[in-house]
Amino acid sequence: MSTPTSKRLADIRNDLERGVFLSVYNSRPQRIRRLIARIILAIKHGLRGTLFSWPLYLLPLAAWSLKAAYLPVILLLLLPGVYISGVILIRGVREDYNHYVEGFLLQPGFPGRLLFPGNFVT
Amino acid sequence: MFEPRPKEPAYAFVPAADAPAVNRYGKSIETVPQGHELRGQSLNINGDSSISDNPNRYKQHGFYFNADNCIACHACEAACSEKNDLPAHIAFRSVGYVEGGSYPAYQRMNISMACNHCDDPVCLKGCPTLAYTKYAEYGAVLQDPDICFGCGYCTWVCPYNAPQLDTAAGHVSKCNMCVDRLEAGLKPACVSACLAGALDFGIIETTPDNRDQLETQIPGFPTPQITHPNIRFQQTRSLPREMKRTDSMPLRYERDGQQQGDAYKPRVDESGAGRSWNLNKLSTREDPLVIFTLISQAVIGAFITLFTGPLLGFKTLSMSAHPIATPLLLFGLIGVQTLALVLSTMHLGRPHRFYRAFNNLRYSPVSREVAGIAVFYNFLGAYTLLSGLPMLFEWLPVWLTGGLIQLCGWGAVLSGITALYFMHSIYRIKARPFWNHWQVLTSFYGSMLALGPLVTVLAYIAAQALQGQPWASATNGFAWVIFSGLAVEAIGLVYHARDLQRNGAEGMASHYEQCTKFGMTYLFRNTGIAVSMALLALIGLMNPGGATGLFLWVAAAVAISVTGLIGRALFYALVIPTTMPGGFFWRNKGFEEHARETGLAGMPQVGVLPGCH
Repeated sequence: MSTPTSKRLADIRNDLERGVFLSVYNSRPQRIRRLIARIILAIKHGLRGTLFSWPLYLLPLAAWSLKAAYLPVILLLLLPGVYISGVILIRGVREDYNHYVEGFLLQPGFPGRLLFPGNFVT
Repeated sequence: MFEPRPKEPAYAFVPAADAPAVNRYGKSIETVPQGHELRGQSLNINGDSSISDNPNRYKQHGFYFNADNCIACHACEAACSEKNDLPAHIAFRSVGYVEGGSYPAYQRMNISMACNHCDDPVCLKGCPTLAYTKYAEYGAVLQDPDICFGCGYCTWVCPYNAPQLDTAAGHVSKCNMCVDRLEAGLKPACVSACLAGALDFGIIETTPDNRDQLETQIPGFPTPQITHPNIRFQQTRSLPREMKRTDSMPLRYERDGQQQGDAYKPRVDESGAGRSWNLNKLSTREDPLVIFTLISQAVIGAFITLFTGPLLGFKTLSMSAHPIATPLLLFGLIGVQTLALVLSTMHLGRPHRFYRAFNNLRYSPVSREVAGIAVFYNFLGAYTLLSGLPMLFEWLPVWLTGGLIQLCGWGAVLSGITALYFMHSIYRIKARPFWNHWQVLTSFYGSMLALGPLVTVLAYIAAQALQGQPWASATNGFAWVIFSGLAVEAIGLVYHARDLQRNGAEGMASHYEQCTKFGMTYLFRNTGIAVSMALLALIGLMNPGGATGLFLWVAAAVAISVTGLIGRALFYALVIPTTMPGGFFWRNKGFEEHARETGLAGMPQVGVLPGCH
């Protein structure tokens, strides 16, 4: 199985090795992979959050189908939940990004590591 | 591998000693048998895959504390903090003390305590994320802060205050037995730093050099029966019959008999304080849980009322009787339950790891409660969607929609009731005697029976009044259901108070605080329950309508809500754990409160985080 990540930038002490690493790290394919990683992480955390909080998203549906006068009440209940869900989503994506993407050279197979990190524990 | 210093003295190494086959609790000292698959594996400390050749690697090790020798120099704390790079507000090992006698026969006994790497680690079973592991290597109980999401449940269940919740970092961490040093044959850092020869370490049930006793208890140490801790004590110095704590907990330790070897038992240290309100001290770190538990119980109760009401003859609660109000109430319940879930999630140190709460369904009541509430929430959502927005499902056969509605409704009822049972089992903790009583169950189900129908009846009155319809005739049944919920709670409270006084120890100390420090608040809450019951009985018997009826219902609703809120806040504020004694400044809740009030907590060296409870 191919190694999904490389040595981490922060662990490299040798200047020459660091320079070579950075030249690859800043290359176009690596930047595209990091962008894909961001999208994958956002989808993963978004789906996981939705799995647990989907009834919350029924509220706009109810607002739409019931009388418009009730809209403010429903939005009052909906908005804090959506806001916190967003905060949790962003924190989750950021943590995984820092843990699995930032400072690594992403090799082919990196989506698997991002989606199922438990399978890649050494 | 950890590198021993050159010329490390012999006493810095763990001695080889012959240990018995089993410890005093009947558990094998050899952690795994010869040839077991767990043998010969690396601990991978800091990525190092080497394997120690320590011949005693698979034997249960433990600390040894000689209370006669400890001078409370705190060198063990300092060594531990330095070794583990701990911030000032966290200590894996801490020194507390109890004192007794009077001048010139004053005596003080110091206790240095860290994790005891128990045979039956309650932290491991309680952790919902599976962050704890009891290793075959040295029998060490290790915790992974990277897995932990900072719920702090392990800090509730541990009787020794070993797991440390770092509210700044958002996770728990604890003593790791210095397994890296053990791999090199060295004793843990705290033991190596001990100046007075009070701390020692080795294979459990072996007596270190120059020691005689292998006791499992000393004054101030909680009963070892809860977790079978791997620590042994020596304490030969004669002590006064009564030893007191210096922290703010109203506890002292009293020897049962006249002999020096007799066990010390915790007793309430009555200060003679009168009844106070202390409303500002009702607020704790667990405030979100006050809201979460009450809302969850109210929502489950309200749904059960709405769903089973029409089946029991309350036709006025059916969807056909109120095609707008009933779906609106259901959507409102979803919104409020979401807020409760959000509050409880944000109460975690790392809320974005909430999904790890399901990791330990086998053992952890927290995992089971979260799963129960999640299942209820999903059934509630599905039921609301199917019954509240039927126009979305007109393409489905009517029998299928009806069947799905019934399935989701009954699923929500059963999962809600089960979730509340699991919610109660979270608090049945031996290390917290104030909670470890069946009253928690009556309180939670009582709140469900009281708050749920209350929400429903208020919505019903509002819906009927808006339509200009009479509402009084159908509400007296609700009044008796709510009355029964409050009665269940009241009966539980009476037995709880009685049993706390009978059982003594930390539970009685909590009850003492309930009657003194929070005496007026406690009285107010109990009076509130009685007043609520009287109002409901009046409504149930007289069935008043119009302005009088409305006034009585609003008064009952206010009384029930306020008493419910105060009662639940008291539930969290009053608990006194069976924890180790603290010092005057350290591990002292009273000093922490003082430091926060005076601004001392702003100085990091004080070791108290500002703005935390």
